[in-house]
Amino acid sequence: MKTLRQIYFVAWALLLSIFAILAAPKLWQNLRTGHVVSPSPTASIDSLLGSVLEIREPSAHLTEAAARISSSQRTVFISQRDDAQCDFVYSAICYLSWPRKIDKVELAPNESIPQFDAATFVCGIDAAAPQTQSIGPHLKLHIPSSSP
Amino acid sequence: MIIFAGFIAAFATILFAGFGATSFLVRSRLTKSEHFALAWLLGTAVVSFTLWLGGFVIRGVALQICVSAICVAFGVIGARRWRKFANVARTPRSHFEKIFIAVFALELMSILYLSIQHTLGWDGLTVWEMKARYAFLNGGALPTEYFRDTSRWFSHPEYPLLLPLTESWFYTWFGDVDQFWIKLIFPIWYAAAMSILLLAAEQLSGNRAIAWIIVLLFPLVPAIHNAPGGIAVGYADVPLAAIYLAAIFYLVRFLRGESIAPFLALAASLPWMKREGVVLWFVLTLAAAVVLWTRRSRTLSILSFVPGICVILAWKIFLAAVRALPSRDFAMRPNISRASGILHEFWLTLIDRDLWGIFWGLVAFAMIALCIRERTRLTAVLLWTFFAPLALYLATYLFSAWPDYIAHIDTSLPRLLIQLTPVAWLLIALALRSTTTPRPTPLAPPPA
Repeated sequence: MKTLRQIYFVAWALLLSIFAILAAPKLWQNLRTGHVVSPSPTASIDSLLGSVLEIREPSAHLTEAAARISSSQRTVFISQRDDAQCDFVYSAICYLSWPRKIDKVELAPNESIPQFDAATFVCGIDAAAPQTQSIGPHLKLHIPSSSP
Repeated sequence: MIIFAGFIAAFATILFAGFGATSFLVRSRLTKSEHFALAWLLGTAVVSFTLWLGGFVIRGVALQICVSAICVAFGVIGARRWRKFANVARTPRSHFEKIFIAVFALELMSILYLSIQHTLGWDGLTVWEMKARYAFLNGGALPTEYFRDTSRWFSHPEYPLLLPLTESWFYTWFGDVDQFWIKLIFPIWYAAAMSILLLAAEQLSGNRAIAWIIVLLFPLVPAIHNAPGGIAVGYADVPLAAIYLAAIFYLVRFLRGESIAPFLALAASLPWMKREGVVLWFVLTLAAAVVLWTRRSRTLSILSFVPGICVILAWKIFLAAVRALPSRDFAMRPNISRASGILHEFWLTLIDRDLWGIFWGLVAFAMIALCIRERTRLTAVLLWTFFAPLALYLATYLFSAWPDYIAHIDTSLPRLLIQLTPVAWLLIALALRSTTTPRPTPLAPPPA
């Protein structure tokens, strides 16, 4: 009985050691490979959005762009359906532009961009139009000239 | 410097509130680490709930002053009660324990460093921190328009507010929104959880060294430090796991004859942290109610549901009153044909070595050992606190409204398992008990 008990605890010691030996390098690797994000109030959104929009300080650009849209004007966000990166851009614009409401329009693969009498963000689609501001290579903002 | 001072002030007010709340709920002095853990877990609940209620009538600096005053009042009243409690007997620390403490300090610093390295994850930012930001910008209370804003439906307006309003409380003291410094509150939840895990594992295994080993091994589970829902990305899963662990620990203490009050308070905090908290609350309270029923405390058995029901109802009534958008994740009708797919995905998640290493193998071994060595009521309760929420979590995917329910499982199941990781470690602690609990011997038959 005593021997069985000893075998039991030796088995536990072995299992826990194997767990630690296999798992500890992963924690160490995680600690080593990351880089410290620079402290700023928008550190997370800039880091996540920067790699998607391929611009520096994207939150500042988006906030500035959103400030140019009149508060009474409707705002629309257009992207392809099931585009995860543009979904994130949409979330980020909504995050930054409270209390503005932003309608989302998702296009089918060959569907052309509809025209709206609204400030329009176009994400991940080529949209050459006058009075269009580029916010990085993947996002464009069109504010109609008739807007107040 | 202002942010640092703000961080200390917000942290201190939460601890004041939690210290007071703890002193109301316990009947004796606790160790410093246990008191810190309870102060943080209950303090965040008290502050967030007070901010939510206070936000109905006041905003801005007035709200900040009122909540701070309540925190300080809690602290002062708690300190008075504290003086009346008997001192706790202290056991001197061995050399081994000092080494364990040093290694734990290193691990804690690693977790802190990871939090600095990582950005908030997508959900950490657009589900949790976003609510904190809007609450801060609105003077401490979430604007009611937010709850019915279809363009922000993705941010789950129906989720409860313990985490967002705790973050918002820090922002109030910072004087600004700050996505960098707010990440530092998550290691505090980790430290609180580890304080409780140490106590619980010691109590279950009967050996402090084993308890320390479990605490030191805990962050090595890869999902804890390197997955969506892990410590570093600002999700609610690790804080929820910390509260669940503490609630189980005080449930175990209640089973051993101590007060039920800390358990009820912690269990009632679960639905205030995350939607899944309702499941965890129900599972734990049902266990406590059954125990009370068997002890013939039938009224208390029914009353034990009251604190949690009050929290859940208050939140549901609020959501109905502001006409909040409903959840889009689940449908009303189950799709039973998914059962095999769900179980298959569950199995694939368990054996994902990148997320879990051999952790679930250890847990399976512990469960088999417990069924052989330790067939007690305590084992039954711990197995219930693991399997009941797991079964309910898996069953929810039958109701998934996602176009691809497998994607729903892949996205969320690892996070749900993170919530159950501490209780899995408790099962290991119990399996490592050096002496098995003697089974009650049947009464001898009366002499003929």
